[in-house]
Amino acid sequence: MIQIYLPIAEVSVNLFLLMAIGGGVGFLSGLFGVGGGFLMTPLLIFIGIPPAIAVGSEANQLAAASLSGVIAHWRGGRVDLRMGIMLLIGGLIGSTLGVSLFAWLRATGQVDLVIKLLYVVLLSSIGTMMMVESLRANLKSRRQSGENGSTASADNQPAKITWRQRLPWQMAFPTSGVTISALLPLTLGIIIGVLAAIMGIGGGFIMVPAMIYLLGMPTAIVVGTSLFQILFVASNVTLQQAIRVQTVDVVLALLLMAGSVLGAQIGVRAGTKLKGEELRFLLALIVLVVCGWMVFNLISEPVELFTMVTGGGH
Amino acid sequence: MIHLTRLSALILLLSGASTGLTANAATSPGAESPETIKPAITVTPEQVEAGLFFQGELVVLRATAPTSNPAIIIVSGPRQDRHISKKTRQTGIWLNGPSAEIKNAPGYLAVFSSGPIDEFNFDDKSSDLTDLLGFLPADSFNPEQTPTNPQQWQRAYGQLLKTRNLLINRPDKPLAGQHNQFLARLLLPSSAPTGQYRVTLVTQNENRLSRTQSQFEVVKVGLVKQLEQAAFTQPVIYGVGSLLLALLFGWLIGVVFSRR
Repeated sequence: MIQIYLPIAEVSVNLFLLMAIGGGVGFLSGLFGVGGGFLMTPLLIFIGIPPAIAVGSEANQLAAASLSGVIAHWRGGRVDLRMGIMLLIGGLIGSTLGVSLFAWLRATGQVDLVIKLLYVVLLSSIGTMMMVESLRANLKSRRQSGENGSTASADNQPAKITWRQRLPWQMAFPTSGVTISALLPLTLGIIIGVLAAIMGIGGGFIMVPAMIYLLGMPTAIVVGTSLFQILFVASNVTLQQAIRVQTVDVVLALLLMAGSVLGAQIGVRAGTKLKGEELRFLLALIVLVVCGWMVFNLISEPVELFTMVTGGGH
Repeated sequence: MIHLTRLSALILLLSGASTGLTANAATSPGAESPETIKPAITVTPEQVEAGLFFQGELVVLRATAPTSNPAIIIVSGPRQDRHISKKTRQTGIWLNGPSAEIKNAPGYLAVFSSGPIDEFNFDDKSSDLTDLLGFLPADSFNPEQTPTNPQQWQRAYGQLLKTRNLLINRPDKPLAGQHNQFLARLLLPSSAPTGQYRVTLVTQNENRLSRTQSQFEVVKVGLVKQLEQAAFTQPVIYGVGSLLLALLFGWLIGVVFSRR
């Protein structure tokens, strides 16, 4: 058992345990195109890392894992750069607005309630929607293959949304094979940016379903494009956390990276072997499990009624 | 006794059962008279080095004091302002509720006593036992946030330390003394905060209180120290460096795996 002492977190942790956590979350990241912050942060806190350090360091490792995933998807032609840039612009606007909203909510003393309820509402609605849709798509795919005797994938365009064509500023996104209003990815980016700033997450688990259902992008392209956007969000969060509040533990981040980049590569490869609806079903399952766990935490009596935060800086 | 109310409230609440005061206060035959023994305490090591593979360290406390009389050794860690909040249930949901700020609270506490602290008969009215023992004086709360029930918050702080192995108090294992020597072994966890630790030996001879102090330090060394210094003194360079390292790492792995 090799224990490593983390210079900023000021605690010893098992080397292999950290790499295993990084590997597991990295696998999900590569498979679904989500950052995995909603899983990684609670796991790190569970093993004794202070919450603020967990958030800052997790963002740093996420930059590595997402870049590794983006390269793999890029080489396979599965990153829609144009769409990614539109989402990124929206994300920057949204996160700026979100920081102000966060400050206002904190002043009213309701930020905790809003964050937790937002999590539950978003996770449960997204998870349920994806689960139902992926099961329907799977059934449809099986029926079609039975009728035609073919094994063609039923991926792409889970639902046709005609209203998208009626919006102004129509723009072609050849990689995704869709022509939609630029307002859609911009607005989605803003919403994700606001939520990311309020909830302290990369927003991948919201972004991925939204890109599939709202923008009508193929699942295979969504994963790479989501990782592209997460790369920038994670890089920005790393810099902000390191410079403003000194909560990035580079040793912790490196150990997580070692596991997560490998996990992400395996996840990317596993993802190419799965059909779109299978990917969506698995992600829906994880989202619903996390949602259930959050609901349980909200309503069950906590083990520790008191919590402590260090004041006065370092 | 009244001076120890706060201490007792904290320690005895956390510790549970107590043991007899004289159980280990054996005096060896032919030992010096208690009046002639000058209390002293030594700490080994005087500096605990936290390097990359630091897992905590055993600190040995050796005290010289009459074993016929009660003795307490208190280890008090670096002080820092602490914010504590309490979770409350609102419409069926557990949320952070009221909070309190404790000024200069010790980040680590260990108490080794030759017997139950309530049985000590300290009569030295002039001594500031609260401060001496390193516990939380009544004015330790932020004046703007003084809670209505300070003792509840003090107990909560003690419990929070205890669950993190940062409060050690074992009345079931009283401080053992022999031949006017007391020995206590302190297993300092890796989560113990860095800084100066004050070690105080409190002995009682009849109704007179005697205090002797020593100290040790927990310091970061090597790469751990360099990284910490960089993070806090040059955060921009540290942040950019951390990000570049992550991007390089991710790029290398991405390229290597893509070629395979």
